[in-house]
Amino acid sequence: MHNIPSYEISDRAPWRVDVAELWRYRHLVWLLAWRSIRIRYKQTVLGLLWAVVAPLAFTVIFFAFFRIVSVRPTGGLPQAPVMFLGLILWQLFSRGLTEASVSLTNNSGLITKVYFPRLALPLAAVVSSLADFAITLVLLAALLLWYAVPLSPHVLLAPLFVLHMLALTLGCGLWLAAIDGFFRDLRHAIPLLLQLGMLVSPVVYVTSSLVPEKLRTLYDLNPLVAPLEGFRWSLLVGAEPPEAAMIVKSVAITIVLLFTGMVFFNRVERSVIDRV
Amino acid sequence: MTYAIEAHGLTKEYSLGDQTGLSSLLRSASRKPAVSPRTLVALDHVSFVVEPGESIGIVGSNGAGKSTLLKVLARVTGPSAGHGIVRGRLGTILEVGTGFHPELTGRENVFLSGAILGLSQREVTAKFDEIVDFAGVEKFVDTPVKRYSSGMYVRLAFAVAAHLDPDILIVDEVLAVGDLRFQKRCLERMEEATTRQGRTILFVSHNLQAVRSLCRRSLLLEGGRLVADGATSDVIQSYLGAQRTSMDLRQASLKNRRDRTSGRALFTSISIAGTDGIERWSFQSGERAVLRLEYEVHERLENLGLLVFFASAGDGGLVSTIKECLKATELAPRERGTCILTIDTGRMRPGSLSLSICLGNKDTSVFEDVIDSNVKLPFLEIASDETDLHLRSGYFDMDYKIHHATMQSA
Repeated sequence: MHNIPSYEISDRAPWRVDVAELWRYRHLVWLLAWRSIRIRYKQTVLGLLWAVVAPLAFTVIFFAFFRIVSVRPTGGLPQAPVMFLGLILWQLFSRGLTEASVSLTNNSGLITKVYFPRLALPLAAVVSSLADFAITLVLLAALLLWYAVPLSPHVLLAPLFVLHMLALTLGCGLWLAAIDGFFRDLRHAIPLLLQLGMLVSPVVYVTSSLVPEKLRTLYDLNPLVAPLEGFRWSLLVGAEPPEAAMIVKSVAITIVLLFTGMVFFNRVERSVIDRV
Repeated sequence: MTYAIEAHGLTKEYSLGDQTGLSSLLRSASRKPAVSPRTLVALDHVSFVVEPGESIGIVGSNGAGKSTLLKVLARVTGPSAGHGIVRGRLGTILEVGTGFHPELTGRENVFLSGAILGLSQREVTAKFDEIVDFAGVEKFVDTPVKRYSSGMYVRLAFAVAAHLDPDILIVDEVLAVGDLRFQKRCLERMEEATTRQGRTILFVSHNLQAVRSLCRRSLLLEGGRLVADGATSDVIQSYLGAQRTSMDLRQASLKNRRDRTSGRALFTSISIAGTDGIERWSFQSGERAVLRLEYEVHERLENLGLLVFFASAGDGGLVSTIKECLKATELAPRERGTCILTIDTGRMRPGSLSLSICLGNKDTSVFEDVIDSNVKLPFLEIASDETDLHLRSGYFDMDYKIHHATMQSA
């Protein structure tokens, strides 16, 4: 008898995250993500097009707002592409985070009936927000063409900034998903925090043109600044590149969030299951 | 010898009371034992081993810890203490339709549910036609399952689970749903899995006849503790023996009963025995069961009737009813009565029957009292020595004649 899959039942919560097992369940992650996309847009006429409605509407609103108050928040760059770029990457973060934070508790019917690595749920939530993002990229391409923005070789780095944002989303999402099992208050707080977060991140403006110099140190602690500025720089010729120090800081925060999030999630996940 | 399943002192406690808040979050992250004095012990140091190829029945009354045991073994939840090992690929059916979503089509649900239950995409693809065929929903694979009849839904959901082909199968009371014919097919499939393919099965069911036919060995759980482990017939005997045969109902669950009825007359005691006078809830098919019902009137009544429902404990389907007018004239408060009901089980097929014994007016349009499984009335168990599966399924033996002739054609 060799090579029989076996597992131990133990009263101790694990410190270690079984990544190999998660990899074996990658197909499930994909299907769970696909399920939430299917269900989100089922019986809607516009379907996936809804993904572009929000960033488009916000672009128009902020465009008009800054015009009225006579502030140019984007330096010398064209306003609409800057805002839309920021908004779609922000939407990737906010949707992924919102879905991930309730992924454990909203799937109580699943997690109380069958075993699978629970990490698959927040992971699938983040992956499903990528589908929306992919749709918005099409509109972004059209927008860049319309404004005749030339592409630079920097565009090849854009996926890295998206990946950075995804990792950050997952890192925060893991923490929030675990905490949501104990404090349902969280789901009331998250929309509020996200709205605040959007204002203190360079989503509809460029950092250098709005943020006062003396607040920069504090501002740069926000790990969302680096991927947002970086994504903009990679797609818009003329945008300032994010400072290397800021990127390093942000990546470090992301890695810490991701790893502590995974361990924390893995440790409390069992208790959440007994509570839902 | 390598065991398929080892359980050593598995214990599961649930802390009652406030489940939210910072302290409980910190406690679960640090894994300190719960300090709350109000805990519910769902499993209490359960130890046993299972050899590969064994099929084990798990019996016990509601709340005895059967489902918790399965969940701990299947890693759905972790034990509070104890440890164990499961060797082999595990398939669990703790519920019919795990992972099914009403908005998705039959095809989509098969793939999703298959993945959740642990099948790879290749396996689902390979077995897809077989699954759909087993469920008999070929025409509706691309229809959202919310448009399915409940029967179709259950059949498709079970078909996915039945095609898991694991080394170890854990099944919790799923045969309680679905029509009889489908239940029989599922039982046959499980019997085949254990006898021919040598799979290990852990089977929880209230259908004692199914446990009897499927499992040679059984475990009896009571209040979270393992109280019997041995040959199924012995274990079932001690399970049925432990059930209360006569119930003093004067104080029992009065609130529950009054909430559902008008309560102007109440049963004071119910007992059941064979014609030999020995009290029990288990009868061989063909025996007579004698139910003795006592009641007391609390408020003036126009008249009094008795209604007894016999339903299948498995799917809840009504098997038969008895309706009698006990008294057509007025009854005064403090009036007491005794009613002896003798039931011939002669034509009943083996199985568990869930009884509802009701007092009401003579038209039974108003109920005064209802005694049923909600207030812990045990199931009426009909057993049979018949070994042919086809001769012991269904509700009753029909009277029939058959004529058959053969002819040699020229």
